[in-house]
Amino acid sequence: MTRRTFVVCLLILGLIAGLVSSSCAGGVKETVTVEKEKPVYGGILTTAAAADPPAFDDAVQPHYVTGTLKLTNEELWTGDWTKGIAGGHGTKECDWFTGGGLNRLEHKAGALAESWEIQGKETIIFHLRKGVKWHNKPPTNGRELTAEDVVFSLKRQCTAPTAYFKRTYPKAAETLEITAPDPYTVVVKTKPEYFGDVITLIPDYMCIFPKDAVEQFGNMNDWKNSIGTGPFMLTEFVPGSVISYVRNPAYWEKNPIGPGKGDQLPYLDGIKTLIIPDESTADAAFRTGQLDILTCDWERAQQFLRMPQLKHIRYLDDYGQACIYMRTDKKDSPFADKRVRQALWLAIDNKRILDEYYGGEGVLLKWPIMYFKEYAGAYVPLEQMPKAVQELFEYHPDKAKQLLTEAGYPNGFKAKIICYNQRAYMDPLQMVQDMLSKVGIQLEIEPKDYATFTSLIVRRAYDDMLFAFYSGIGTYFKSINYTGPGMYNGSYVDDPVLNRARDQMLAAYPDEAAVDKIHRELLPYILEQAYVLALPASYNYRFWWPWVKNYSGEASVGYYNVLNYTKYIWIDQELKKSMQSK
Amino acid sequence: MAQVELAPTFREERARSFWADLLIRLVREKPLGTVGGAIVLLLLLVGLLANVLAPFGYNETYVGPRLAIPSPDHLLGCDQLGRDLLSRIIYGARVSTIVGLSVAGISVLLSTFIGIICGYIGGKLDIIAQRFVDAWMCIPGLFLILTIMAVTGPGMVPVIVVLGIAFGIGQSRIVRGAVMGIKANTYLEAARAVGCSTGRILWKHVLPNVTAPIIVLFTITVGGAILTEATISFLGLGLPPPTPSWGGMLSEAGRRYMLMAPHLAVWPGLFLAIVVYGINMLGDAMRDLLDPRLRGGLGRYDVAKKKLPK
Repeated sequence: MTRRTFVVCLLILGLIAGLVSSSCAGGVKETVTVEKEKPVYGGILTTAAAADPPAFDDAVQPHYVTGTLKLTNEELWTGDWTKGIAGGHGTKECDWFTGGGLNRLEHKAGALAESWEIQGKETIIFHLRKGVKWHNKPPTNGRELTAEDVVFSLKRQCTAPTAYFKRTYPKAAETLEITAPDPYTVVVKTKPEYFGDVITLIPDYMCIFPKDAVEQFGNMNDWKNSIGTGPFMLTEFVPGSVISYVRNPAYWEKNPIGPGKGDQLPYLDGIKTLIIPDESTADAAFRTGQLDILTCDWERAQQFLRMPQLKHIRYLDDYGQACIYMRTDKKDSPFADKRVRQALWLAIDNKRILDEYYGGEGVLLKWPIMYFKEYAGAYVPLEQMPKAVQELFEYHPDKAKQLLTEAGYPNGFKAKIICYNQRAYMDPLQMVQDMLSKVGIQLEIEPKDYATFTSLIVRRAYDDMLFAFYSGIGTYFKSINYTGPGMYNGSYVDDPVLNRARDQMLAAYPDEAAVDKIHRELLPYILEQAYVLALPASYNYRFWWPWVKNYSGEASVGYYNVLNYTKYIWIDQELKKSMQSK
Repeated sequence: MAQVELAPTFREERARSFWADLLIRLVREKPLGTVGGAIVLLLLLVGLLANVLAPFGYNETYVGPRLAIPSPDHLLGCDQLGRDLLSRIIYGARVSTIVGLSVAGISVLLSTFIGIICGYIGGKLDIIAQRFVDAWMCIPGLFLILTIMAVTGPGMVPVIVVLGIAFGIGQSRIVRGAVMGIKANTYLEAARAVGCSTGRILWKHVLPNVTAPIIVLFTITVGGAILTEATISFLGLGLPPPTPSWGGMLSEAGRRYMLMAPHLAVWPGLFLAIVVYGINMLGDAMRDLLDPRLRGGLGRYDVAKKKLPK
C-alpha cells in the first residue's frame, strides 16, 4: 500500500467514522452512566407538572392527585433504590421508570418502618425507625415520630369518608385492626381475604401524618400546614405557577449506595415544580435548560433526540393507559356475544395504528398487563400466544364481517362510546371509528370533560362502550381488571374461569412466583375472550440534562412514589452554568 | 325640464324588487361587500356540495402519509391521522355554514321577538326584560358560553342552540332600539286608532319597518357565530371529533403540530379568516346600504344626488 493510498483509506475511514458518530450523536441510543464523582450538595432541581395538585392530604383526595406528599411525607415502606439502577451501582432488578405501578414485595425497602414481619395472612408487624423527626414547624416543632402517629394516620384512612382506602375497600377498612404495643411498633391485623388489599395499600401507599397537627388543623389539605418526615418541606404554592420545596435538614436517610454512600440525604437545596399545562411551553422550557427533567411521548421526543447533549430513556408505562370496555353483562347487548367482541378486534388494524400513529414506537399487547421486567414471570409475549390470540391482533375485516353475520349482525350496528375529551383519547378513537365503519359498526364518540368522565368510569355508567383506564401491573394478582364490581372491570366481566383464577392467585399471594405462574397460564384465555379492546401502547421518553447526576430516568421508587428519587440525585452546578452559558 | 328628466329615473329604480335592488346596489356601490358576498356564496356552495367536492371522507384515515405536506395527491396535505386536509376543510365549510346560518337564524328570531315586544309594549315588561338583558350582557360572552357548553356537553345541536340564545339575547337591544325609534310614528297611531290589534300592528307595521337592521344583524351574526364556534371547538367544548370544524382542527392538530406540520394550522386558520372577513364585509355593506342614517356619501340619496343636474 502506497502512502497516498494509505492516506486516502484513512480519510475514507475517518469520513465513515464521522458519519457514524454524527448519526449516533442524534442521541438515539439510551444513556446509562455509572456515576464515579463524589456527590456535591446544593442546587435546585426544576421539574414541570401539567396541572396544580388539587389536594395535599391523601385522606381527602386519592394519592394520584396529592403528588407533593411523596416529597414531604413518607410511608412505612418505599421502593428499594439499591435494586434499581442507582447511578449504575444498583442491582438493576427494577428500573423505577414507570409512573409507579411496580409493587413487588421483594423490591421494598423500609422507610418509616425499619423492618417488618409478615405472620401468615393476618398480621403484619412494623418496627419503626427510631430518631425520625417531623419537620420543624408548629405544632410538631421537630418532635420524633411515634407509633401513635402511624396508628392515627392508618386509622384515618380506614374511617375518613373521603379516604381512598375507606371508599375503595370498605370491607377491608372496617375489619382492619391497628394497634401500637409500644412507641416503635405497629401491629396491623386483617382477615385473610383482605390480605392482598392491605399489603398493597397500607405500607407503601398511605402517607403518615403527625397526629397533633391533624387534630389541630382538622385535615392537612391546606398546603401551608404541610408537615411530614420527608426529605423536602413544602414552602410555596402559587396556583397555576409553581410549587417550591426546600431541603429538610433533619432528614434521617443516608445514601445507601454509590460514590456518595453514607452521605446525608438529600443533596438538593430544593425542588421547584413549574405548572406548565401547555406541552410546547414545557418543551421550550426544557430545551432552554429552564427544566432539568422532562417526560414526553415519542412524538415530542423527536426534537430532543436531535440534541446529543441530553440524556434519555425510553420506557413503557401502564400509568394512564386506557382500553375500550364493552357491556358484556347486558343480554340484549351485542357485546355479550364473544363473536362480536372478536369481530371488533379483527376489524381494528392495530399494527397500522402502532406503525402510523405511534411511529412504530410501542407494543401491541398491553392489557391486562404489559411487559415489565419486574413482572416478566406473569407475562406471555404475543409471539408465544396461541394462534387464535395472535390472530386477534391482526387485521381481518372479512373475518370480522363473517363473525358479525354469524352473531346476527350482518349489517353491523350502532354504538356510542364515552371517552375523555383529550387528544390521547380522541385520536385513537377516530381511527377506530373509521376502521369499524368498514364492517358496518357506526361508532358515535361522546367526549366528556374530566370531571364527568371520572364520575362515569367510577360508576361504570355507560350503555355501549367506554374508553377508560385500567389498573396497572401492581394489582395484577387481584385480577381487578376482569373480575369483581370495581371500576377497572369496566366490561362487567363475570367469568367463572377468571373468578376461579383470581381466587387461586389471592390464595397463593404473597408467593409472587406462584401467582406469576397462575397469571401466565391464564393470560391466553383472558385475551381470547376479547373482553376489552386494547389498542397499542406507545413508548414514553424521559430526558434530562447531564448536570442532573446520579439519575437514570427514574420516576417513582416504589408504589406510586412520584418524585421520591429526588433525594438521591444531585446537581453539578458548574456543569450547568457552563452549558447554559454556551 | 329638469323635473321631467329626473322623475322616470326614480320610478325605474323603485320598480325593481327590494332584493334585486339591494343586489344591484351592492355590486355597484360596494366592491368589498361584493367580494364578501362572493365568498359567502362560495362558502354556501362548498358547504352544500361537500360530498361531491371532497376527494375523501372527512374521517377516512390513512388515505395519505401522516402529517404529509401538500402534494398533487393531497393538495393541502394530510393530518396526524393521515386524513386528507382538503376534504376536511371542505366538510368544515359545511359545518361552518350550518352553524353560521342556524345560529344567526335563532338569534335573529329571538332578538326580534324580545326587541319588538319590549320596544313596542314598553312599561314594566320592558324594564324587567331589559334588566335581564343587562345582567346577561354583564357576563363575559365567552365565559358564559363555555359554562353553558360545559353543562350541555359538546355537539352540533348544543353549539347552535347555546350560541343562538347567547347572541339573540344581547342583540335584542338593537331591535328594541329600532322599534322605539318608529314607535311614535303617526302610521302606528293611525293603526291603533282604526282598532288594529297589537299583534297585527307588530306583524304588519312594526316588523316591516325594522327589517333593515334585522338583515344587518343576521349577516353580522353569521360571521360571529362561525368565529365563536371555532373558538369553543378550539377550547374542546364545541363539535366533537371527528366532525371537521375549522376551530376544532386548529385545536386538535394545528396547535400540537405547529412546528412539525404548520400546514395543519395554516389551512383551517386561513379559510376561517377569509370566510369571516367576507361575511363581515358583506355585513358592513348591508348596513351601509340599508341604514338610511348612514348616507354619508354611501347611501341611495347620495347616488341620486350625483345624478341631479348641477
